[in-house]
Amino acid sequence: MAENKKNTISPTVAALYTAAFALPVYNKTVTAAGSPDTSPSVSARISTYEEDRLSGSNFSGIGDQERYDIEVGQVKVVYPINDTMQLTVDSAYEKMSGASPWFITPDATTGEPLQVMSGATIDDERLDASAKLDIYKGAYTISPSVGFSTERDYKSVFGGVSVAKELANKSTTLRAGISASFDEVEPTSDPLIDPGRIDSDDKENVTAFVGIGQVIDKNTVVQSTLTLSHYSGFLSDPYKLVSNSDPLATAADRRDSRPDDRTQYIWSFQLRRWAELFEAALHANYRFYYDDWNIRSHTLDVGFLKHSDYGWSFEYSMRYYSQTQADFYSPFYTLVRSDGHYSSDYRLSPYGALSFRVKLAETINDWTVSLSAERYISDKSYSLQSVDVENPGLTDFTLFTLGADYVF
Amino acid sequence: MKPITLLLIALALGSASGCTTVKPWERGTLSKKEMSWSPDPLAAKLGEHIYFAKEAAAGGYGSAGGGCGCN
Repeated sequence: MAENKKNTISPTVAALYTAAFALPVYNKTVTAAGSPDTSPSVSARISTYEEDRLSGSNFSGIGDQERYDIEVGQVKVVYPINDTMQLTVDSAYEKMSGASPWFITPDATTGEPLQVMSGATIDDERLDASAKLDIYKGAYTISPSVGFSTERDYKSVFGGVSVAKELANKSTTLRAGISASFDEVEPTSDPLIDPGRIDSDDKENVTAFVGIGQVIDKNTVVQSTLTLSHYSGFLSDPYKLVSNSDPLATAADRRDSRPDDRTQYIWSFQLRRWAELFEAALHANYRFYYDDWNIRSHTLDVGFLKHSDYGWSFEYSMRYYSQTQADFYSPFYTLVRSDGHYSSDYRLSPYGALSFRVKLAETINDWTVSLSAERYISDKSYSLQSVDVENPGLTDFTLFTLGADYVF
Repeated sequence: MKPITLLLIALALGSASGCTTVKPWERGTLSKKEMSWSPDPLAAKLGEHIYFAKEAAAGGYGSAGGGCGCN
């Protein structure tokens, strides 16, 4: 990178800069590359997540209006093995209950979409765990990782490896990585309610990423990442149905039925800027997403982090999200589709969302305790594009987290 | 290319156009915890899991992970 303090850059350097992308290292400061932590540490979080009750105006009257409540426990251990290796192990346990969207039906009078919810409350538990080994070899950091996730009707194993290289100027870091996951879905059987549900099926994913991190000045650093991800196998929701009023529709035309592959293209850009006036850090993250289901999304996350010299810290952030719809999505159907693809899932519908987060923490000696809260609201009016029909299943939620960290 | 995409690329280029050489003794600010890519990795992982279960888009920040029945 040219040592040029003027606000000009050669076209060649600009082209190289935009052509190279980087991986972030989550729990490292932006310049602390190539070395383990100085001490082991343990972190724990307990979170409670509650989705808002489905509003009466969106409810068909069938099923339970109460949506998901989830309790989550997380733990993480970072252990520096020696001067060149560090092991990180983390695990999470979730206990969830509540009803979920089943299908959408048009109102008999107005034709407006109304959500049909699952009946009996769903109770489930999920456990996941992963381990990552960071190996430091001069300017290189090699990080293999493995993990698994298991719940009553879904199991996943995954692994990957990433490599980071710090250039001689110690202001530029190049990163690349690849990972894969192998999932098995085995939905619970309910022949009386849904006799056409599959018994079991598989899904695979391969993801690769490259990127670059660059120190701009003593107060500013940026990072850019390009990701390519491919899913194949059973990608539908085995529990969801769709409303299809076409007289020619068969049972298959009334099931959530998505393509059996999906390719995702993602670009993310991150900025960290120190504001001396406030003695705080400004965080800005942007992500552009596109897939071959024709979904495009923009995510912008802006935050303000202040850590005082007296042990307390305060963080505030806002997140904006907007997505377009999958090209086979519809709240309900009046005609059979030639490709046989259907979904009324709100997660494939057009909408936008805003999220507000705040966190307070206090550090006393080697302990840090924290309390954070997040409120997420979604609505068609938040979308960047005009949306004619909002999916009645859109959800809002509130999340509270209590945390503790200890450095040995 | 959409205008917003051009704007974001221009921002990325603009941020790079004033690169300076930072001496080792000037890196104290960059080493602050609040300047890290993810000051709270557990919170970031939970957040990504929740958004994965709620939204069509996922990933893009360079970490490996498995799936769940939530999406």
